[in-house]
Amino acid sequence: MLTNFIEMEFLKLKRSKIFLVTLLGCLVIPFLLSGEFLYMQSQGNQLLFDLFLSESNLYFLSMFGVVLFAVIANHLFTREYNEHTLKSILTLPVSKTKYLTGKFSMYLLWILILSIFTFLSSSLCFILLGGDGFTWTIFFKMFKELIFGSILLYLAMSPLVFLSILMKNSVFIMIASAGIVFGNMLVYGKVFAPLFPWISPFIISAGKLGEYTYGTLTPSLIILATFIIGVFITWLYTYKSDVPL
Amino acid sequence: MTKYIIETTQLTKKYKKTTVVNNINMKIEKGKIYALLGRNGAGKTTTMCMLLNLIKPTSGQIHIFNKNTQNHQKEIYKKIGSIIETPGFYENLTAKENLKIFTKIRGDYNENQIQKVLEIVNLKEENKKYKQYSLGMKQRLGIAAAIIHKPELLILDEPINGLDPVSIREIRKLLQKLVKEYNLTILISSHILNEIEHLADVIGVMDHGKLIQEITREDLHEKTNKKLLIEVDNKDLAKKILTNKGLTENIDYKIKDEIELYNHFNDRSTLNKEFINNGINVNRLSLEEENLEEYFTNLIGEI
Repeated sequence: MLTNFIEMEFLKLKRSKIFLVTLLGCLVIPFLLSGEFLYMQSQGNQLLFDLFLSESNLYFLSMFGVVLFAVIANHLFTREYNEHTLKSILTLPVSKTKYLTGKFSMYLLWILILSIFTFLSSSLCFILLGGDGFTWTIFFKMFKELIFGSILLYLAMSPLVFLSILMKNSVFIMIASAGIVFGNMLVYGKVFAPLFPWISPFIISAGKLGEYTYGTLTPSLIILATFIIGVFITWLYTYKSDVPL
Repeated sequence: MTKYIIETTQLTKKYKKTTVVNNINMKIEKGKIYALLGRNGAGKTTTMCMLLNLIKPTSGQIHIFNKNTQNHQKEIYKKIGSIIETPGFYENLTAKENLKIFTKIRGDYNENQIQKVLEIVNLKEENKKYKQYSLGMKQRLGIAAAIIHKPELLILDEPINGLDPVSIREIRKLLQKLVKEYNLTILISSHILNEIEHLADVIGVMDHGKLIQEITREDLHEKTNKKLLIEVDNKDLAKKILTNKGLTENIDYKIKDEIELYNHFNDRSTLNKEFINNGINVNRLSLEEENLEEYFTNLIGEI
């Protein structure tokens, strides 16, 4: 049943430009980092592989990924409202819990695809630029960090899923995600940064928690609580509200 | 066990202080086409949405297939096909792809069945995306989606809205065929009174959230005002003949430009003979019936 849901989510993307746009959007990070690489090279400095990927992961998990994940959440979760298909799906009948489970699963899958694509394109750019310091050990270590961080960020995005279905408007969700990115920039490096659930995925996954006074437990619990609250209010809203026609 | 496919008890929906549906007791028998008639805002769509569990009732009970809808959702709704207002489909996909999505999710995907229903509703333009469809094509795809899983009950809210007369006739024939061949029960709402008159076995009239009348097609014809119009060249002599037959002026008949007879319709050939035998030329003799629109306009005002 769940595989059917996911398969159909992919079918819904047929002839739709959104998937391609999000993939192309992911190229922004390697493209800008390549610019930085060339600039540093012109200054006689070297941007080594581990630093190149570390910056790629930082920008993805703390800035670009937040906006991108918010856009995807908005598209995935409001599509049935905007195209008036929710009434058709729920009368099939499909339970609202199954419907939401399918959506959240597809959301995770989409995020993972984008994370992998970003990582591979960043690595490829570095290789094409002829940078130094490439090793498979660093490659897999950084890959693991990005995937782990993406999953944590996915968990922290569930309140934005709720905002998406509540507002059903992409402008609102863009403003909210921009606010989160601004918050990330503001708190990053501060003592309480691990408590902010949208920057802590990077801090945890990159192994930077040691730089702060908090252990792994508190930031992890905050992310988990954010996820549970977001999913619960999304579920509650879907159950309690009448289906729009 | 009752013979009703749909049975509502005191069904009510309130939004804050506004009562949209007010204590509706509706009964729909198996194999019948039941039409809901009423002005915009009468509560037809809300009632249908409550039946489909898309809107939660404020109070009251709904039984479909003799089961309470709150406790047996899965068993009930898999046997229902529906269209509520404009059918909702994915705009970037074709008819086939849209039907594939709905049948896959329901778990009864069958390529041949998709092809079959598309042929039934006459949608053959396979490569056209939904957003390129005309309103008529969208409605027909809606009907295809509603019947693809061979439901026992169809709930159709304004399915012929915006269709041209030829498409309306096609849809009417299709619905009649479904009832006849598959013993489907249909609950339909429409503004097009003429269509309802042709299609429905029972008409439920809603006004301001209340079901103010349920009437069978036969009873409707009994209830609509009938009169026999007789155009003669000698009204005085005709009046004498009518009086001699025991008919009272202004009660049984009125003399206007023509004679309007309000009863004794079955005696019209005898009466015609008598007029002719008495040298009266009968230029016209016709049975006039108030149409559905006039009947409902009298009942609830303009629809």
